Amino acid sequence: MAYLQLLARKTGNLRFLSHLETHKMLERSLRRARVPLAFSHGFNPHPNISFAAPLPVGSLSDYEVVHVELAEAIDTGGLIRDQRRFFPEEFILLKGKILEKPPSLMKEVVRSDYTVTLNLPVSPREIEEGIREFLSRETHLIRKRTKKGRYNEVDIRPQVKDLAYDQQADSIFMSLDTGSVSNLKPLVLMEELFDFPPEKLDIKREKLYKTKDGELVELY
Amino acid sequence: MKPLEEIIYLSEKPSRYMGGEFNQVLKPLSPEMIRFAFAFPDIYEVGMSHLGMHILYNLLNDQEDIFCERVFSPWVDLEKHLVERGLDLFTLETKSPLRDMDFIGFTLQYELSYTNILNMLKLSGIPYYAGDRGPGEPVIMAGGSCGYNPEPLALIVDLFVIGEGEEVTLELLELYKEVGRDKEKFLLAAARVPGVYVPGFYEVTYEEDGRIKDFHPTVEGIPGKIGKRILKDMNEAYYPPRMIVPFMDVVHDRAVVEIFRGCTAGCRFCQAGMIYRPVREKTPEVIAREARELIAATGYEEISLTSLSTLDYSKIGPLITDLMTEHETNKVGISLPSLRLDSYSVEVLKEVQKVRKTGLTFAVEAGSQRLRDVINKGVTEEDLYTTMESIFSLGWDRVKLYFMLGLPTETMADVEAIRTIARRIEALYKEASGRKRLTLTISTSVFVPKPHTPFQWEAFDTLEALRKKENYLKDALRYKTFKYQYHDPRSSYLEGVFARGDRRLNRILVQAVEEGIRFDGWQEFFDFDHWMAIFEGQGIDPEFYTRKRDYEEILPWDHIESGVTKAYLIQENEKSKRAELTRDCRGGCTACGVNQGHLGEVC
Repeated sequence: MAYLQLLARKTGNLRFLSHLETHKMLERSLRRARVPLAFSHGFNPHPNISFAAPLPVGSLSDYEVVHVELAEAIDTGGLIRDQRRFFPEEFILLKGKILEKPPSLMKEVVRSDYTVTLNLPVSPREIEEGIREFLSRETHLIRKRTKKGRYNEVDIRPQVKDLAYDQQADSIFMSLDTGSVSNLKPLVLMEELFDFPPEKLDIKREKLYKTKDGELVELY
Repeated sequence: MKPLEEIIYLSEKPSRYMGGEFNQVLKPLSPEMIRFAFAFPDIYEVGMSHLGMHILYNLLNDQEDIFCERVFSPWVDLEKHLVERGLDLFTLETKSPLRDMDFIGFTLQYELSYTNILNMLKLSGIPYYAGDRGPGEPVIMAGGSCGYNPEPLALIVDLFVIGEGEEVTLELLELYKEVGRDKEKFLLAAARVPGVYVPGFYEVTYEEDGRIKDFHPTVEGIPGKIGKRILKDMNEAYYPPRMIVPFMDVVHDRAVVEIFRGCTAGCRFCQAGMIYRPVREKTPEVIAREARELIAATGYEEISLTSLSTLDYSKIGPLITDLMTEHETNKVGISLPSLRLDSYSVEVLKEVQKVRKTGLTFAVEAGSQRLRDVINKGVTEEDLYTTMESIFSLGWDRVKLYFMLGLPTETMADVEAIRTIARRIEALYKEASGRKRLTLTISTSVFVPKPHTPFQWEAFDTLEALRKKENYLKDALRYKTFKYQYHDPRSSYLEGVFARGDRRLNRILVQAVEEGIRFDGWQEFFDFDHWMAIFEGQGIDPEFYTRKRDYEEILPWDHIESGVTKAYLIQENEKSKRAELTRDCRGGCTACGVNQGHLGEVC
């Protein structure tokens, strides 16, 4: 069995795609590129495509990792080279490779880096103050809705591995727990830190990480 | 985010407004470029499912000096953000305001979307009335099936294209360049182009009772009658080699290949069946090539073979077999938009079913044989029941049947016959399948008399009678195997008013939109009482438009010619009163006139 692993950027208007729409977009692009997809059996055959840590609507990404099950291996170099004929303009493939039977992306991901560009008339001091105050805490509890509609208390402080303001770029860099064990979304942290309207922010994922031999390495 | 991005983000479905889909066209905005906005007066999901948009969008963008963009009605959430922030409605491609366009071309598919047209102008800061717009403001064009009665929009739209738009739109844009992009000169010249109606150059006078006394051009050299345009050879006609592939789920999310235009069945209620004559087929080779190109260019997993009556295509069997063979390995399925009730349809279904199995829909139109004969729907009880037996034994459990209520001469006995059909099919299902999973959906719509049909003179049924008929069926179909879907007769009533309306309705539309009315086709926004208050305030009786009319009366759309003669429509109307059938004209010409008039010998 062959799997195609892709690393891609989601830019511009594509930030507005939902996870399902991103999924469909990729499927159709691969069909246009005549990539031999492997299909499930049954009346509604569908391909096997999985994204690492799907982003909420509104986020940009320089680091989308995808697995696609193939009927047979392909030359990934050709796909990357000819991508503009098959993919929407604002979806950019960076790398691709063929894997034999990779572990589930969702299980592998442990951390993400983001930059949040502010575009807001607030003073750098106010932002730095907010960040310093948050980092100085031992714990920071929030109420989180569970799938069953109840609320749980979660301490998000240990989920934040790095948090810093870059005044020149007017952006906040954050490194957060991601994945099935511990997960914190950048917008949730932003709401805890400040009172900024979310539509003003430009959130971009910079990297995804997994652990290998106890060390943090890039997911792709 | 930028201001427009902010409101797109805040909207319920951002992918309606984002643009950037695969096969979208972008061009540099040089001053030489003619800018055209294809405007669909409903939301993205509906508009992107409309084949005409895909054809014109690509046709125009294939011209070097024309840039066609898209604009749809914003849903109410985005509309609110636009208004609150003082932003203009925008095109998807370049996010430009509509005022920046040379042309805005609206497609007229449904009378209840007229308020959306005006609302789109309102959200663009463009005056409603053609007479209030300056020389620098865009030319407002319109075309589509509702354009066959252009009068309710005659004071708003600058120019109507009657009939098929591919050739004439290009001619018009050429003309626009020739006259140096001078709007006034352009309209005067355009009014002489065959198939073009510029209502500003025509005058209507009325009798005291409101009927039309006279209709005539006010400028010399402009035709008194406007004949529709058609493409004579579909094999030579432009067909887009690509289509924009939406990111979001739209109503029809598939590659669409049009296999013929026109219809020969001659159903008397059907406007499309009359105005799109004559039948013009593409060859199987052309269809196969277009399907191949579209699948390669879109990545779709389904090909829909579209037309007014797909199973009537002369070589449908071999066509489907060949397409299935070619596309099966890539898991691309074939779908048919409508099915006939006969054994042949079942054969075709067996073929198509190999890849995907969906619910099946059949249009029966009327419950009793008598009423089906009145409307010239050539379906017998036997056709219906044998078809049902076959599809049940082939494994289908979900069937939907369409009927109309309010057809001319309908009585309660005809409505009761719908119940009889439902019960009989339920029994057939048990016998033929031995299963217990049947879902039989009975769907009724309300018959609206439409211009250019044999029923154009008939009255719209009364609201009381329609309610009674619906209530009867609600009650009669209250079993768990049945699902009854019905339609608010009041919205059909309003549709009927605008379908056969005249110029005086323009000011009704303007007032309605000024008072916040739009999305009349959407149940949650349709406000009948508000509409009636507006009619009353303007001193216009809507009943005037839904009433029965004499053959002698000058109809508001008499200056528009579909090619089918009035004599033929009268003859068909008379035959309907005697429940007499007219044959499908593939079996011999029935002299509707389409090949004898301005179009020449077309069939």
